Amino acid sequence: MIALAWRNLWRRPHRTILTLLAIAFACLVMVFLLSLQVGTYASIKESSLGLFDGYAQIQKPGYLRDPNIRKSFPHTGEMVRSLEAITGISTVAARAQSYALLSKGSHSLAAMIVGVQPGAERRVSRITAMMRSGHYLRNPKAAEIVLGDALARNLGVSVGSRVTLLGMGRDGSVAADILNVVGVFSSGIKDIDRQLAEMPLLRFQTDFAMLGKVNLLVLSGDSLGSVNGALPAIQRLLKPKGLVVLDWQKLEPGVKGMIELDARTSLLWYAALVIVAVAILLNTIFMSVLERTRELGVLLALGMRPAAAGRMVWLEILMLLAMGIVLGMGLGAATDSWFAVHGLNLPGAQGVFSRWGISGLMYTKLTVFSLFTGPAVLAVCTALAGVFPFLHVSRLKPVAAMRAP
Amino acid sequence: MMGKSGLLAVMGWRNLWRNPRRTGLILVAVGIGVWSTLSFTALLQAWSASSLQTALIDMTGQGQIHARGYLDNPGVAHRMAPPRASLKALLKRPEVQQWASRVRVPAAIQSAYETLPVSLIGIDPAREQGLSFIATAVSAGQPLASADSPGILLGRELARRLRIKVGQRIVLMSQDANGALAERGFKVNGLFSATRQAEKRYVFVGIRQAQSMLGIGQSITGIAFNLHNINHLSRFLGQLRQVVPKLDVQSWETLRPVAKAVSQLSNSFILMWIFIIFVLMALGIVNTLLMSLHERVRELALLQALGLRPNLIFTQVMMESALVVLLGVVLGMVLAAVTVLAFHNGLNLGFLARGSEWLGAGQVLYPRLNISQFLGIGALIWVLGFTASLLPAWRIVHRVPIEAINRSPS
Amino acid sequence: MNDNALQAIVSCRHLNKQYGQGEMAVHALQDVDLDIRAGEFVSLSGPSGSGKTTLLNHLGGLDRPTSGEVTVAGHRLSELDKGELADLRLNKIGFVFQAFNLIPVLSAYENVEFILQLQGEHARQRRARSGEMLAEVGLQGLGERRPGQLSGGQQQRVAIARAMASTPAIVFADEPTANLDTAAMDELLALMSRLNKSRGMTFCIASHDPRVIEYTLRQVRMRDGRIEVDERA
Repeated sequence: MIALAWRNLWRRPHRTILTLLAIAFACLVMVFLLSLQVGTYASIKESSLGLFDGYAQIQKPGYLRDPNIRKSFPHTGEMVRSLEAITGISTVAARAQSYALLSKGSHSLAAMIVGVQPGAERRVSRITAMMRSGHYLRNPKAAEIVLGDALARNLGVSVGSRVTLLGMGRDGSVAADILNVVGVFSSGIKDIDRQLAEMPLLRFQTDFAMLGKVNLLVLSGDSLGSVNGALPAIQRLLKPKGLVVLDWQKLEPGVKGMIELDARTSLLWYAALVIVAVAILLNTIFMSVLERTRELGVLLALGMRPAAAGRMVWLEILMLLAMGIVLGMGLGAATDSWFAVHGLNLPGAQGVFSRWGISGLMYTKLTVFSLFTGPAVLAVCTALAGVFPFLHVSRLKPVAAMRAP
Repeated sequence: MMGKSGLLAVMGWRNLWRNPRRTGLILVAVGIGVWSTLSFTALLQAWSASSLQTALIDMTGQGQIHARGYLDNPGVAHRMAPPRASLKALLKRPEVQQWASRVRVPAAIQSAYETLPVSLIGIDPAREQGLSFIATAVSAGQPLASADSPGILLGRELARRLRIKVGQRIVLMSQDANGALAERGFKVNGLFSATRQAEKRYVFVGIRQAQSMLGIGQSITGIAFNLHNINHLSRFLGQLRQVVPKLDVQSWETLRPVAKAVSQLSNSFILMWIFIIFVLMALGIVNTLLMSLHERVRELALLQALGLRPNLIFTQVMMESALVVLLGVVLGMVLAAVTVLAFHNGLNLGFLARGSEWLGAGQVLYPRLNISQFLGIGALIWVLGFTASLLPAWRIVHRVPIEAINRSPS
Repeated sequence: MNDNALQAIVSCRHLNKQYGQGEMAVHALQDVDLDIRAGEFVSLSGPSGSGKTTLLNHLGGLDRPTSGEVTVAGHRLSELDKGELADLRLNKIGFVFQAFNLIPVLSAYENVEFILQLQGEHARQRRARSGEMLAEVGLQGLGERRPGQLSGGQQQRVAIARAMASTPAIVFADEPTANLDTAAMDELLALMSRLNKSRGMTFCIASHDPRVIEYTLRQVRMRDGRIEVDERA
């Protein structure tokens, strides 16, 4: 039966090949686009999180919605060690933050001051490597500060200047200090460059009367996935302490929303692709069946059961589909590997993505999902659509069939 | 001659319906292909338009005028004089839809609970109608009554962070003209809802209140304007630059490069999609054509025997192909038109709005039916579609085997 | 060139047709000479494979010989290109085949008119003429029907009406009666005979059926690509 189905396919090589190409192309496109989406999403997530937020954060409940310096918790070596011991977590960086006024001479601006651990911070935030002038914080105890370039410009300070810090401490007392500007960073993101200033954590804790306490712990690992995998273990660890761990979706709901939006709208395009490909395939199969009506009639007259004849046709569909899908997946994987290295440069992408610190090159990422989903959907739809030719053949009556023109 | 083409067209049309299922399937393929392209295009353009619109009403306007150095360092140090007669004359021209002066400086807002950085914007509320979102965004309390109004408008999100309600007082601090820290208390008149960013960062007061608080007299920090027709913008900017050569005149394209990039990116995707759909459709069309021709080899041989010149036989076959593609294109266009019109009152992104905001577009998209574009894309796909048939049709028609005519039914 | 050749409307000289090469070569026609004059009613007969259909195809300009010359209505076919051959077939030659004579999507009227339209006649005259032709072959009133709605015999008669409509110099028929039952066969042959006598239409029919051969006035028998016998009834 299989041999017969195979030979039937090659009766009209042109037709078979064209249909094959259509299926392969549809699969190729789906694999490519899905991989592009997966790759771009991953890229956007890692870029936006790796800039400053980190892959996950530990905070007091309610801090995310209403950040306030009073919502702090003890920063213990024991907790840090247990966190780092969890597989998937490589770095735990502590921060304390508050809005305060920075002044230089007569210039005063409100800014967000973040107290960081310079060593750990380097491993969780890319900003530490984006110094435009000077250098990043080095000394955990020094009276140093680094600022965003717009903030520095608006204040009229540069490396070597001194700024005055004025804010409100955790206990309501005045927090004041004079700090040396050792570096100016440029992240490319206006909000960050205009508002963010970082200083050593220990000094911050002293100034703001919160020794030993922090507002959040930033977690990082080899990848976003590894950190996500560690979340359940972290949650168990934190429960008795009354803290919560926030995943990337809570840290960057805008990114999550954008990914959702893109994913849902692209469903429509994929659906259109599948419909067109299935229509082409059905056309071919129907034509092939119709032109063989007499022959099928003979087979039926000779004793083949109608359902068996239907199955034979269905088998042809499956073989055609299988060949097309394999070809398409192969081509798709090949295209992906090229673009995974070289990236796809679409006009306009640079402009849109640069706003969030991401380059405009879109890289594909081949995963099990992106490789198999598109072809799988196509296969299922085709198999379902194949019901029609199957029914048609099963209903043939031998005599009428043999008399067909 | 005309008679001949008419005859061939009639034959072509009737031939299509000899095999309704096959014709139907190819119509589905072409129709869905065209429908998806046109709907996609309309959606992406609505997206672009929304992105642009959102950017413009987010205190940008189509164009802005500032003192030199203000954009790099927004503060009272880079203030400008109120518009003089010549500038005013230009701004009062009928092609300008709205224009407004503003005082916008970085400041800090303080409540009993919290101190946060904001952007203080002094406005003349009446002039902001149609120019920016603030005119229609007040959701609690009262909007500002006039340029002298003593109250302040906060974003809902900011009010929440500050734990402040309408009617309570806050303190605004900013750098004044002498470089000293200016402080003033304001009563919260009302709260506005807008994008998350806007709600967190903008606070609005009457422009004269801002001017007196900062001690800058009649000076302002900038002028924003809209034209009736955005296509006239570059010309108008040129005229502006001639009238006020010492000032910094910018269009939204430089002020909001992302909006432009979104439009470009959309176009890239559309082109990519047209290419994809075309390849798939072409494969389908050529496949159908070949199948149909194979079936009719005898008939083609008959036509040849009857004395139909090969070119005319080719024409007849091409007409069929052109007809079926045309039908499919028309079908796709109708479906797309219906789809777009169905969302005429706006496609509400609802729960997807967060992502939309992140990308700089609004929550509601308004797809528009651009007839000339529809027809253009439809025509393009039609031409491409039957061009795909040219080569195979030519090859087949010129190789019709003579024996076919005598072949007994196989 | 003798007198007969000068008056012939269709003639061939030293006609050869070979398929394939070397050992595998098939000699479908071997050195065939034939003249057909106006008003003749000729049959080409012989067993299958004798070359009668091949000869018909060559005389009708549907195929080109390996060597030799065919002349139709004074035109040497070797000197004509594809387009001119088509014109010749349109204006000077009529065909009736064993089956699939008609364009399935056109009605009987339209099938006949088809030729006239190609020849450039105006709509009103076309319709009138095609009605005339259909009446002549006994199909008046059936003009609107499509081939699918006509019997085998009726379809062949429409084919003849079409062949006549273009006023050709000669009508070639290839096994025109093979698919018909006895009654229809007789009808068709009687029709062709009548048209030959009353209108002087020249027919050349290829067939292996003895009854067909009986109707014709000149019988050319072929075997293995050569003409064996050429006699008048």
